Amino acid sequence: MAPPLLKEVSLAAVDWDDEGFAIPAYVPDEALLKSLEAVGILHPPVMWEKKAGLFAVVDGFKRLSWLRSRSSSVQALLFPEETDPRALLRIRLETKIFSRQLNLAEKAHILARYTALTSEEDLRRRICPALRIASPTESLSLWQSIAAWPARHLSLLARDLIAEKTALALAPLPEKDREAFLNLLGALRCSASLQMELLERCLDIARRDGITVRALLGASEMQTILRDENLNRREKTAAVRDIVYRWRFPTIHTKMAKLEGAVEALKMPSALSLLPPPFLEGNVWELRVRFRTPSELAASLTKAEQICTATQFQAIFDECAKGVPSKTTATASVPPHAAA
Amino acid sequence: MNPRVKKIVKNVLVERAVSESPVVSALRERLPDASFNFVDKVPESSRKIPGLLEVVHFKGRFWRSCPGTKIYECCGYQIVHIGTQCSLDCTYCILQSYFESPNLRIFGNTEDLLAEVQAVPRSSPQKLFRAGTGEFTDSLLLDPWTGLSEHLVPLFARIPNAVLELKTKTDHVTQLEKLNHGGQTLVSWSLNADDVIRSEEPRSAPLKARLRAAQRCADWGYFLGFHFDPMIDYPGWREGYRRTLHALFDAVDPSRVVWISLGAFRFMPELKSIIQSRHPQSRIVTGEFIRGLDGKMRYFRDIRVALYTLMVDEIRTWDPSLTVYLCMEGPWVWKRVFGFEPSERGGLPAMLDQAVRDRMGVGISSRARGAKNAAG
Repeated sequence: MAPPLLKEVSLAAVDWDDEGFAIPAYVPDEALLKSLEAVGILHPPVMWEKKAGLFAVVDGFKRLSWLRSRSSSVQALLFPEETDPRALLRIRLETKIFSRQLNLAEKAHILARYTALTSEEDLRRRICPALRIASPTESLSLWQSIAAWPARHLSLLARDLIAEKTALALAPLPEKDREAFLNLLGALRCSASLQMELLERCLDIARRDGITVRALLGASEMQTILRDENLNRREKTAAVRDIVYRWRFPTIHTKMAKLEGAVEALKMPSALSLLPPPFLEGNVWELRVRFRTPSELAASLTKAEQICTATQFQAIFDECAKGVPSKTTATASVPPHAAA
Repeated sequence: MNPRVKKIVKNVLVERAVSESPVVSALRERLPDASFNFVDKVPESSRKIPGLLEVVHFKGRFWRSCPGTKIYECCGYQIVHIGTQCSLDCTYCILQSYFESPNLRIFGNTEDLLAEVQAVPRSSPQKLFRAGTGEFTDSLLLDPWTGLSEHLVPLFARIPNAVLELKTKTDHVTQLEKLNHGGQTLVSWSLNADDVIRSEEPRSAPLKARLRAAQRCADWGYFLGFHFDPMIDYPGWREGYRRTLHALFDAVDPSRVVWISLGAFRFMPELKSIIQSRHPQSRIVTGEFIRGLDGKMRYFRDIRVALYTLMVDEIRTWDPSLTVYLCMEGPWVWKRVFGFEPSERGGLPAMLDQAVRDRMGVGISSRARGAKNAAG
């Protein structure tokens, strides 16, 4: 391939609609704009003379876009017309991979574009590690499908609002379901682990109840939380997490809430905490005592001894021993959206 | 041969070390249309090949104890290891996570297997052994062609302190008819609500066929066992399981049943994504599971108790003395279901040993056995 030459290119001769080499970032680069305003273009953009007198941008889309309203020409590194555009794209992708930290949307695009240029082996062994993304065989096709998401979805990825694992889990979903969940995540801006927790639970509920994720998230109880202007993002996340848990585990939720109520009714002193077995699995309970002095410990132990004989204490164990209501647990678990 | 039996093996890959074994001879005779290939060593493969049966020379222990836990009550079962994998493809099956050898595999060195089966009970003559072949594969899935039961069943008939349990979801029993079982083999079926069988066990025999096969075995003098495992919490489960119990006791005399086990669905956490990917239509992993004390996902305690209580109450109406036990459950669940913990009755293994003595008359002295038979 002939090397590029530094030449003056008229901006009027640039095909601005040609995005064959574009790797959209989906987020504005404020730092770059400030740098351009301060010192202008430092490194020449790269272009390809795709036919005599008509030029395609290969690298430098943002810089040229900035320059367009400020100048009529630019000094560019120009590849001649006979250059193979596939080879040029390859150079473009490789440069992009190693140039700076890429956001997930860019990574998805690079991977999708590179698929046509190299083997799956090369993608998995070299390109994926270079991009620092998971590379099992099945995830390659997921990344390719992510690259085809609409811009509004990719912009959430680009802004780091969606974690990599969440994006991969969302990739196989129908677009409307994905949109609904992305909107939820956009509103909550929660951590990667919470994203996955919410997604897994919503998918389980949807599968169990035979409804779509969109219908689930459209339930009025959910929408009320999301629209509540008195709640900040952290509070909304907690409320959404709670409601999703209640929908996903109705029997457990009801039981543990009743048990909590029974423990509260004991009115234990603050120095004592009664802890049932986690999810009531097992039969070992814990009584925790906090004290600063031997006399405090003695007082708490005396109190604990009194509690053991209280009827409220026995009520906790009675509550534990109660079974599930006679109607089927699965039917009882259907959240309001599906019943409607 | 039973007309229902469908040949599931098309290709047999045999290790040369076992090419002369009785199992391979039986396969060659009973699968005349199958292709046989002989290799020094069957390679480990991660690819599942439908219709392939591997016959290997097994160098490990054929007789081993079931890996129980200290937290959940274990029944003290002994595994007779005859092979691995199963082609019934039930949605919940743990075997689908065994990626290293996904194909049907049996052990061709039958003489070694039989020698170990003879030796282990002989080494502890005072102990009663309850052994079964259905841990890593279905006991009877390949039996019409391998003829393994033709060796194992008469062998157990000659061991005074052991019983054999053949556990299956098929109706492959015709080959058992003429065998000298000596009352020391029980044929058992994994049963479920019909809805669950249709949705989660679509390649296994339908409920009616399993019960018809059980009837035939009882007619041939075999004792029976039934395992409701995994029980699934689904809308309508009460009616579903009730119907299966009614069908069961309409089909067989409860006095022929040595035990019925109950076990709610539980799974290693890693199995969830495998089930979702291999059986996208299945909803079984969407139940209310918690992580158990053994690390497995299991239904919340109250759900398990509800499942078991219904079954125990129903079974008691048919036969109050029939041994019903919980598979891998904690004493706190036993207490709520039965009102006692196994330790109060000497432990679960002792309870099951007693069931064998009471119903099968095995494991008691010959004098007591004679008296029991005379009384019966």
